[in-house]
Amino acid sequence: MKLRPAILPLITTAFCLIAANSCTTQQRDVKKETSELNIIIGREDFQAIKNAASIRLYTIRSPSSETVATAPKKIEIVGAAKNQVIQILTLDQSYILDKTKKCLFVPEYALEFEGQTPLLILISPSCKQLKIIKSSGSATLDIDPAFDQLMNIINHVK
Amino acid sequence: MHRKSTFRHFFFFLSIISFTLFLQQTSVDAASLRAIIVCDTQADSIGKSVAADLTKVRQEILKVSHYIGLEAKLSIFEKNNVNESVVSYLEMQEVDPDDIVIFFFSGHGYRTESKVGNIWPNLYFTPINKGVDFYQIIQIINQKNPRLLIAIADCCNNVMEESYAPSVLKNSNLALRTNRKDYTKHNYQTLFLKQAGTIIISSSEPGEYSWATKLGGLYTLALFESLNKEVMTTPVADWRIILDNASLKIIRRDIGQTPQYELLTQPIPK
Repeated sequence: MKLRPAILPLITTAFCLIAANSCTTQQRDVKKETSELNIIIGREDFQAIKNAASIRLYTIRSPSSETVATAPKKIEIVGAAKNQVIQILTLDQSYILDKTKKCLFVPEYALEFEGQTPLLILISPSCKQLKIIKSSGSATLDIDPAFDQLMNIINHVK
Repeated sequence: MHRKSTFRHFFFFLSIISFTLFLQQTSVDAASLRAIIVCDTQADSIGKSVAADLTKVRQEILKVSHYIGLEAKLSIFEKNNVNESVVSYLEMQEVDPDDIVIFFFSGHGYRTESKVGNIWPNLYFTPINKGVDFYQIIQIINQKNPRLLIAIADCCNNVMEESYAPSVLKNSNLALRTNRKDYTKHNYQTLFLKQAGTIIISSSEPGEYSWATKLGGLYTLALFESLNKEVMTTPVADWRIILDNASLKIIRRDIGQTPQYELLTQPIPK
């Protein structure tokens, strides 16, 4: 009984420490998730998607990015749809990052991002994958968790 | 003169008989473990995973060879060599009736809507931008009547639109515990030497994807983990249990990948 007043501050301190630690862990997790996507696609490309001035959708018919220039269909994605596309593509939860499918990537659509750094993203519906075309090569991402959402927007605007 | 000639004939025929017997003996002893490993290390976005599969498969085959006491003859196709030469190599190969043949592929795979009545994927060869029907490969090898054929394809089996689809071409791991060595050896021999027939495996069912990690293909890793566990922990190893456990490891991940296999083997009578 005599010890109770001495224990109470200790318990309070312990709770505070646990709460603080939990908060730090959450922050670390969020930071880690974001940095994982950044590492894969690169900070510059990540910013190019996030700060795109305009997004154009191309329907392509050949498994080659060169065909984008001569693609028959080109649509500007604007307003809420544009914001949705940016949100989907920049969220870590949209992707499966720890593994990838052994699927033959054949693009059927392309998204062209215009801004300070122009960027091209190819979409393969049969693989549920994206390919970010960079000057230094390309990065393939599995977008399974957000695939239906992305395709709904594409089908809606096209 | 006549007696001398008879002796000559006798020794001549004796030599021929001895030589024939020697050849027969050599032919029996020549039973080997032939492994054709096709790893498309140039496959887009999964090259590192495929390279990891190559290392893993090579190690595991050498381990099998060590335990069953058959010489391993490895034919590895990687990088630019993943091309038509794989098929022509298989066609040219001479296989002895006692041989065990293992065919392994890691890379991209696909199928088309028109591929009806054939559950096996098309294996995509990046350097030539062409597919090869996995079943065609199985048929080529099976025509040579190996005692045991194990054919594995760790690749997707998802459906691609016809117009987009590529055209189809018509050791170190031996540091095991000494007390288990004999046990393991016995199991490897049961699986590889005391069975005849065909085992065909693909890492996903029609319409499904197969997944790859930095450590290798999920199915390749699961298969060899299952094989190693079975040979080391059970008194009598069984292919069905190995394949079921490997499939279960993938199915439990709930990633829409279901491995499939056909096990057409029977024990060799003693």
